Amino acid sequence: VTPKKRANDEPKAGPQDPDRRRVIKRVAAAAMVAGAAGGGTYAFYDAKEPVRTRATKDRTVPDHRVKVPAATPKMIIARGKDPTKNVEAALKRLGGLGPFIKKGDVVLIKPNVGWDRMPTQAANTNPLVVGALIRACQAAGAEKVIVTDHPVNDPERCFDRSGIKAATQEAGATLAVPTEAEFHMVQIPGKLGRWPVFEPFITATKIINVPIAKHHMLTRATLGMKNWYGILGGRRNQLHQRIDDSVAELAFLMKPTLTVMDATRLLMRNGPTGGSLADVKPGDALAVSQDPVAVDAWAAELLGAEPGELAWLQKGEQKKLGVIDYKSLSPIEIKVS
Amino acid sequence: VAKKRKLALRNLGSWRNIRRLYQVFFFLLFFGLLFGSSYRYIKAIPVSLFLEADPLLALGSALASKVVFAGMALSLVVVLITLIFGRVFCSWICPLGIMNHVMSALPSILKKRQRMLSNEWRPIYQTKYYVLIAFLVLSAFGVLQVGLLDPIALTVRTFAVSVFPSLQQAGAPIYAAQPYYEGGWLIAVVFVLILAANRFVMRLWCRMLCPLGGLLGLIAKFSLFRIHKDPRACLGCHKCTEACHGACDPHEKIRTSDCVMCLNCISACPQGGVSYGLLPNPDNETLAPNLARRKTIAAVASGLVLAPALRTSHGVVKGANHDVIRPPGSLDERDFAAKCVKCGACIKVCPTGVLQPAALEAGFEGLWTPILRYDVGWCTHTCTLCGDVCPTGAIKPITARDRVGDPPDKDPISLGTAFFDRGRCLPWAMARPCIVCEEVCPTSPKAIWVEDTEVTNREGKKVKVMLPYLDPKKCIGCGICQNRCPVGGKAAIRVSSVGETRSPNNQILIKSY
Repeated sequence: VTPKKRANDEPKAGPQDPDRRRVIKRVAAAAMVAGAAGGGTYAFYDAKEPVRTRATKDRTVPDHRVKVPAATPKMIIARGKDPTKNVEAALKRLGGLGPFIKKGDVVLIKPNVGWDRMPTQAANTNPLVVGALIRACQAAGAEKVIVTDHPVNDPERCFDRSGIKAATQEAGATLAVPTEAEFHMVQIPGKLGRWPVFEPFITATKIINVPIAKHHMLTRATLGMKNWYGILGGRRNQLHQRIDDSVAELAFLMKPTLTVMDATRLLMRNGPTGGSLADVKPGDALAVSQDPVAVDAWAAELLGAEPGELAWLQKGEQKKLGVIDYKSLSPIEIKVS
Repeated sequence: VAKKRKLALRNLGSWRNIRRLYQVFFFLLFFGLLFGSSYRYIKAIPVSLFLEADPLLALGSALASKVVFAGMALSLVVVLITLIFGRVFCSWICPLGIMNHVMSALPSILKKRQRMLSNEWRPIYQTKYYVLIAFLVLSAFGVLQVGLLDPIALTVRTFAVSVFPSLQQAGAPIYAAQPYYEGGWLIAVVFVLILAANRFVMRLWCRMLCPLGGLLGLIAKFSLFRIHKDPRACLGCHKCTEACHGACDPHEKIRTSDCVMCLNCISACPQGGVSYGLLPNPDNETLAPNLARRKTIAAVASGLVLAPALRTSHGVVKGANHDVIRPPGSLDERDFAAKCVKCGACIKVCPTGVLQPAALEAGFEGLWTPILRYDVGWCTHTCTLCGDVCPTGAIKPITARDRVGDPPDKDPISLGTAFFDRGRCLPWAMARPCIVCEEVCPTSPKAIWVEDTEVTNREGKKVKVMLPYLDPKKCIGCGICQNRCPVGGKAAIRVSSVGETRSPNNQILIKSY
């Protein structure tokens, strides 16, 4: 039994009668496809540029120096075994952080956390110094205190083993570990050009530089001005080809509210990484100043270098960032017991 | 409705649901432990638990090296569990088994009848036993390849080089920084094929290929608790087989060794004729595996042939490929090959991502074993995480003190030696200052030293640059110089394996001077 075929299924000879509705529908659909293709091409057409360049605006870093009462000491050197007490005594002698930090400030503390080393190896800033500084900023009314650096070694290990992570968390500050997405282009005044800078360095309202005094083969000493390498992303290891200029230009970009030089332990040789306790000498000191050049000059002497012979320091002075002759600031020495 | 609800309540405590609970628990445990296998969490958790509990990795590496290393003794627990409860490992604990289970349990593309037929046992499902035999014969000759197909090693490896990095790409915060793995795609393809196969034949991998399943099947032959089918209750409806994951023929005589203990048949039987209990009547079982003699001989023979054939690449025997740089604490190449199960646990835990799955650098034998690639990362000076997680001891657990050494009494552990490519080096070839390599060199005193030298530049001007040199006695081959060299990609200083502590032969210097 064969199933009965419906009339519609019969194949018809020749073209079917043009059905008006069908014709209109088909033509309309074809027109829409053509329109979409043409319109799309028109919208995206470019005779010159093969890609759309996303125009991102360069960011700028503000000058973080503050005007303080004339009576404020220009430089303080605290000497004592306990780094916490050194910080506290130095800041007290300075008249507190009141003139520097205002209520509601977002303060960024920039220690040197470049390396996967322990505090005793003196390759990173002493965590006790960082902890004491955080508490002082909080006491001065800072809304938020951020501690950060862009380490050379694995960041997680660096922050952990340097003790900086623990010090930051204990004091209730925020540790900012850099990720690639958080770097923004900044035009550095001078010849360096545009470089990616880690966001908190752009957005903070006050910045305190907290370097450690260390030996360095190329610059003789790595101190406060060189510490600004830690704000950069990208291929910053190119900077070594013009290290004196780059150090000075970065220091010209980053004008800190204060520089606190950690000289609790001094890395005398084999820097900036160290690794052996034999490379470390006790320094038991700390310097605080608004003048980044003077602080570096003081610390360079501790490392046995002649500050006047350091090209990057001279360039810093030429850029009027401070004075190499730190004694002209009549530094106040205090003994801390 | 009341009747339906009552039924649902009774089902809540069904075997199937108990199994599901265990599956969720063990999969989360596996995921969590591997996720936690990082510098941040490692001290708190037993990250290598699954690998150490794997009897196939234990047996294979023990055959190859004559040692059951440390934590691998844990695998006895799985042997014991299997002896008591059967192959419960496969459906309740194994992460790959669980994933295969989920893929198979999704709405099927097969028609009911097709699925039922595809769930019947076939001779090709014996393949897993022959794969197992070939692998074990190879192992006995020191060629450890079980990790290629061992489900735990395979899953850890795939998660380490593909799943976790992909999740990170998609935005999940798994790593501190996005890792990249050369050749990870190939490992992922194997994994995807295994998962996709479930859509056509349920748990094809578990039924046909898994050598660990084969081993546990052999052990399950002696298990105390078994599935029991009461032939008197059977109406021949095949509902059990339609739901069966192991293709172990519950509708006929059950093949205990092939049963993956999904326990679906118990819930599926409308007569309540399938149960699980202590030593049921053996008359209702098919004694399995009944291996074909010729195929068994073929499996042994293929192992016998492959063992010397795989050794014809120079890698393992001579250790000659200078690009095969092994993690700190690694055994000498021959022993390493007899211990490394290619699980990739070290790759997951490595903080800089320098550990990469080898392609054919170390011969086929060394496929997917860890090598260091300094264009990707570097070996952190005092880090010992890879040795901490290595289940078999291919990378021996060492301390930071072992790594750094205590000269002159104890040398540091060296992975190789760095060499300058003076034609690419900025101060050497281009009269430009640099010495980034010296700056980042972590040893004290530094292996890279510099000499102030006057050189002439293109303009004929004399300029002073520091020329870097390397002291092979101090270099530990950590590769941070190569990684950080501004010349990039092909750096101006590169590490090769010569001078590696693990090898008595691959040396440059006379030791005593």
